[in-house]
Amino acid sequence: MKGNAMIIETNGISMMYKLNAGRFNSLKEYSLALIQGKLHYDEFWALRDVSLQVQCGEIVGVIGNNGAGKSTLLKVLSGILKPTKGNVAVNGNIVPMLELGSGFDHELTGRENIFLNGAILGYSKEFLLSKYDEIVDFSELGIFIDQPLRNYSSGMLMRLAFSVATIVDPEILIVDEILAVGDDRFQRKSKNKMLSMMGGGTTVFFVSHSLDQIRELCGRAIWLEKGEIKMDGDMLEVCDAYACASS
Amino acid sequence: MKMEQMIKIPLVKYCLIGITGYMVTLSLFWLLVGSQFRWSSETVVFPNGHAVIGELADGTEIVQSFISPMDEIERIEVYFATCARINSGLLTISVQDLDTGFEYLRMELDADAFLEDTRYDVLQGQTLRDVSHRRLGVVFRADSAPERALMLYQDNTARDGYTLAINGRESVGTLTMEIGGSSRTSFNRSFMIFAIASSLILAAYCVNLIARQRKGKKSYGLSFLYNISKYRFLLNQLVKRDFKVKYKRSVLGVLWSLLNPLMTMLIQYIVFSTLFKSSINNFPVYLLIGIIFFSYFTETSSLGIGAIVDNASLITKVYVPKYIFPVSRVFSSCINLMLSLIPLVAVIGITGTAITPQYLLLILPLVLMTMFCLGMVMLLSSIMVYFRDTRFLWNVLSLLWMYATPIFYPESIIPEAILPFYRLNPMYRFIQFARIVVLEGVSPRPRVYLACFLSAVIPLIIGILVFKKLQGKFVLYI
Repeated sequence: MKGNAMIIETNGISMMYKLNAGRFNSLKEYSLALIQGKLHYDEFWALRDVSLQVQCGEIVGVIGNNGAGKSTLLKVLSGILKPTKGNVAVNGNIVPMLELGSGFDHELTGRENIFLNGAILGYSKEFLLSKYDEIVDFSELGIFIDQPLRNYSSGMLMRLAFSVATIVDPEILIVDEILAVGDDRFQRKSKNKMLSMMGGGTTVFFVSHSLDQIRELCGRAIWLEKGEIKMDGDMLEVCDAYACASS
Repeated sequence: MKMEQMIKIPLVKYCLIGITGYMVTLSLFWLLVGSQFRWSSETVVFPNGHAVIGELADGTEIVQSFISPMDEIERIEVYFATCARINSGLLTISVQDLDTGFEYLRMELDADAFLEDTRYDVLQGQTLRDVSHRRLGVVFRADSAPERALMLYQDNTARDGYTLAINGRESVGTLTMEIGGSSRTSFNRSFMIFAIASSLILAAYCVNLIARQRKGKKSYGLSFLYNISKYRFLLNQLVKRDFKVKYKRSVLGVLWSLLNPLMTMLIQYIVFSTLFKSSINNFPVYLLIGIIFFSYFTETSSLGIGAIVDNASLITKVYVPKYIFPVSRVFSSCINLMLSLIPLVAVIGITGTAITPQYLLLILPLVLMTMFCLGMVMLLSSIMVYFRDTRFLWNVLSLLWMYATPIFYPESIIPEAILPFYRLNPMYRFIQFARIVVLEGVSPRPRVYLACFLSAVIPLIIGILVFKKLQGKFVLYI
């Protein structure tokens, strides 16, 4: 890992959503609104002027109430959302673990889905081929790997999704809550896997409602409130302030 | 994201492959169409003025002289009047170069062999070569008796370069005749200029790209190649997925891709053959080309219209360039298109249509149609994000579009008044191109190439621009 290089740098990012009044899903609604002159919409700023810098290897916890803009911030950092204002610079490959199994096709077999899902997450073919056995082993799916996904139980589905998503050593890991899937034993196994991923020198951006987890894992914390950074600094100070405010 | 530096693209290799490929394509193209475009056929037609010159009797000599309007003359047709009587005597026709006196041919014919108003080709299948701008003369002389002699039709218009002389005396007017032949075109030269210029531009661009890569500067071409190499695997996977899922639980599987166009053709053949068969040569092949081309368009557009909306769960969770989705949908339909060409080949074989090397030109309308479809899919799928009823509207529109394209009916029944609208229909252009190549075994005229090219590029550019403009907000609306 490089020394003090900034791996993530955002510059005054703001994210504006148009609220329902301005969203028309059909041509009819749109033209009606156009005729009636109701084409205005309500603005909602999920993020306001957020600037932050993250160094290589930092583990940053993001805390805040529901609707504070945590998920939006993660989506902006992973490039899924384009900020309304400001810009984001990211120097490394990001693996967003926002929701597992997106892009699974239920008609295809587990094997085919490993490659499809891997490709969606940006892995290369060679990488997937070399890690294929490891993925199958971790998922503990055994012979079911050649069955179509529609025959899987939801637990099996989550195990497969988790195994594909966590096979990489990303430079930046974006985590929306620690994912613990499957039965009791697998939950422990998957939690350990995530903890080891987060502990391996990777830069981690971690959203959680559990202050304990943040205290346990992070060195730095950011407190978001109503889309603005309320506090950014040492984990202990921020957590204490947040705990005070919410109690 | 500054990931461009992370994957080193072997640019020099790609550039060499690109330039070589381009030049090979150009040469192949030249081999296929060169002989056809080097010559253009021409005709000069003088209308029948329904006037006749005096009888070709008693040794009368009529000389129609003219400056050759073309490089090669293949036929010179004149019109004889017999006055509905039986004529007799010997008619001599010769064709000469009037300046050098060289006689190309001479024929002696029986005057009674001509029927009323016969059109007669004095060259009788011979070709006069290299006669451009020579002064030629067609000489008629007959020894028939008066009232037993043939006459030649003429009209009384004087034309530049044409003189009519009777027994050496010039007369006003021209014989009613048709001159057919061909001239060399500037195709060879224009093509050479185009080939050299475009290859040079391509080479210059490649050098520029390589230089930019060395200096670590950004460029469109480089990031384009970078994206291709980065997302090729994903594209590959998405196309595979579409294809596998399509036939996953069907017994005949991929065979449907072959059977579908064949059965549609069979049905339409049975329904429409009595209506249109007589006016269309090789109706099964005509029909099948239309069906295959148009169903490709219907399939890509109906699948592709949901390219963004159907992948909403992905787009909101992972960053993937959004154009991957319309492109993958078009590519998966492409595989179907390739498969549906197999029944076409079979039907071409069964109907005994002559297969010529020009069939290779079919790649062009197929590629251009794919570009057009991609443009449409990008346009439709991005509008679909904002207005979900686009899909229903499109169902109706594509039905209308199908009837507005000559798939099962002949082009000849299109009324003159709405023909300009047909010309604006890109699908009509691609189908027309393919039909000329398959049914006539020749290359279409250059104008058809241009029309096809514009029909593909303009919608593609519009599609890309709209998509690019709207894609930033997709995730907010799906």
